[in-house]
Amino acid sequence: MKLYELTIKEAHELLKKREISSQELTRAVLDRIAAVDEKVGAFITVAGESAIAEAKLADKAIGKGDIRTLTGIPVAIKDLICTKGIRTTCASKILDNFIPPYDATVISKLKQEGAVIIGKLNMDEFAMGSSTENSGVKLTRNPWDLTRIPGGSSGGSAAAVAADMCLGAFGSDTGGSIRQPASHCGVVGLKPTYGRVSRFGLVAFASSLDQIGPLAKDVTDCAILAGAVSGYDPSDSTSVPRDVPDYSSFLTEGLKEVKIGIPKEYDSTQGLDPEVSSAVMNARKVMEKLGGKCVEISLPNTQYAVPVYYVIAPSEASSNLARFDGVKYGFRDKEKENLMDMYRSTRSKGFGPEVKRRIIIGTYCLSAGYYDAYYKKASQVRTLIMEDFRKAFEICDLILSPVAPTPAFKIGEKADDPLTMYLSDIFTLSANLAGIPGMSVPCGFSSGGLPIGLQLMGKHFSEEMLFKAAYNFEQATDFHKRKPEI
Amino acid sequence: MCEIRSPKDEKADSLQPKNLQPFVNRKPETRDQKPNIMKITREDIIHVADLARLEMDEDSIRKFAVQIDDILRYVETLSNVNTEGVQPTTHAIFLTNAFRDDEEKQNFDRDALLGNAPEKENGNFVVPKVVG
Repeated sequence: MKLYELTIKEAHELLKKREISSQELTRAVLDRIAAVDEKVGAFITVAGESAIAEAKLADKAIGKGDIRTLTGIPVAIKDLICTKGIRTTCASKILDNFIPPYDATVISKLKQEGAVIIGKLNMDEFAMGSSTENSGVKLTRNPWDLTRIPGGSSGGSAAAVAADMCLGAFGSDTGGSIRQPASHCGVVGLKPTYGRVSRFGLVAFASSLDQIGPLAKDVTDCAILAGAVSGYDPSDSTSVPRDVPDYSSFLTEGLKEVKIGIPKEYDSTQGLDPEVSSAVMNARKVMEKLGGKCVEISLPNTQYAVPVYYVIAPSEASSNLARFDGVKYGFRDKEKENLMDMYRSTRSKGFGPEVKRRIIIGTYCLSAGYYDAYYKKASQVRTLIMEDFRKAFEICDLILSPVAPTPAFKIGEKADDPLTMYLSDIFTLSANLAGIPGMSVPCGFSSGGLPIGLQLMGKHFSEEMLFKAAYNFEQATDFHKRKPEI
Repeated sequence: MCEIRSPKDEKADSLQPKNLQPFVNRKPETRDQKPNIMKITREDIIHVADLARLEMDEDSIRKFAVQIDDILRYVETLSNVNTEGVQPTTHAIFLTNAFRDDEEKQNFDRDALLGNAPEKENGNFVVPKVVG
């Protein structure tokens, strides 16, 4: 077996037995990146030198018998999570030259666990998009079909994991940005409960929705990565002081008595591909065979998730992105001689079209005379969406649904039609609006050989339930074992 | 880069329809009621872009007006939902204020923070002239 193909758990066992070193593993992954990333385009920055230095430190620690699950494991990071000394661009021209002077809390935690940071991954600019086509840096292609998008906004993260260019990755999810690319690339992705993982050092898009989470080759690795970064952080006032269960201890057999909610509205969703629908139906049968009990639930306000999201997210973004003004960091148009001209020119040249579109929608929705009709109305409907979930979870433990209505679409197919692109987020947005955890697990392939993902959603802070269900599903199927040929 | 045009550009002004109602007074309407009226006009785009400190060329303004109009029409479906008496949600997790002791500590080195500044001098950020 090639070292870069290992899962985290497998690599950890070999490192523990000293059958391989972290340096060998890290070099194998760097070689893999050199071999295939020209085609895939997942990385914005490959941090080869510092990764090797970190691998040496890991080997030293292992030599002394000090090994944790992530010691010496190469992981890659979406380029909107601050990494001290490694350029963090948000795939935007406006942060093209930004080198963070500090590590995000998730990065400090990963370093404490001994992980090796191998590089920074491509994404839609400021995480705004569902295809990674909005990157201001480069195009990322789906490893399963290079003419298709990898999903987004964490497209680089999903593609890198699928193409074995890292053993695991981190992304961020504001409306499906971890789950949808995970689904399109055939990997496992988790959006944790809002407040579960510190957002300190995550460049903010929509602060009431953003959450950092892992993308991994299987459920076991996903649980390892989630456990490593979860927990309260005094530096993030929205992180929740609550103990983190040992997620790996929930990876045991048996779904008996687990009640799985099937939303009655989802199957009639417009634009739901029949192959996706049948893969999800099949997953439901697998869950039932494993002992799960399916119950019909109703989420009547889910149909409003897209309009609610596309008011709330741009509104918060228009406020968050006000900080990019050419003063403290990033790009500045130095030609301009007065402050206001400098602001305007810097922002106009620095931001790409989708970011500008959302800033304008957000500013409009928050502006005088429109606030009640748009922002307040959307925030009220958000309450109703949360209420739907609260009621549903009175009769079920988790909810099963598709992740995306179709498999990965062609590059350029929706590029000129933002509304159609937004509609592809229909199944994932509501978890962010309600703050609940959501997970994507491979559950099938289309007739064209494209991966299809299954979404599991749970109550606030019930990640362990998602891991347990996903683990059981994975044990009963072998979709996660297929690899793309690049 | 694209051609930069000021929001106050004369040519742009001349394209504005006459008797435009003040921006703040126009209320959103549903497509059914007013099928031919844009939810957001190019003038709105120019105004809002100015608020957001963005400049746009004429092509982008036209394109944005159509695309954003589509999006806002879609958002209008929210008017079908009865939200009377419903509290708005701004935060999905119940959390009260997060307080900490007011202790002085140095989180960052000043020079490290200034390291990314496009222009700096004597430990300060430098900006272009603010008043003439």
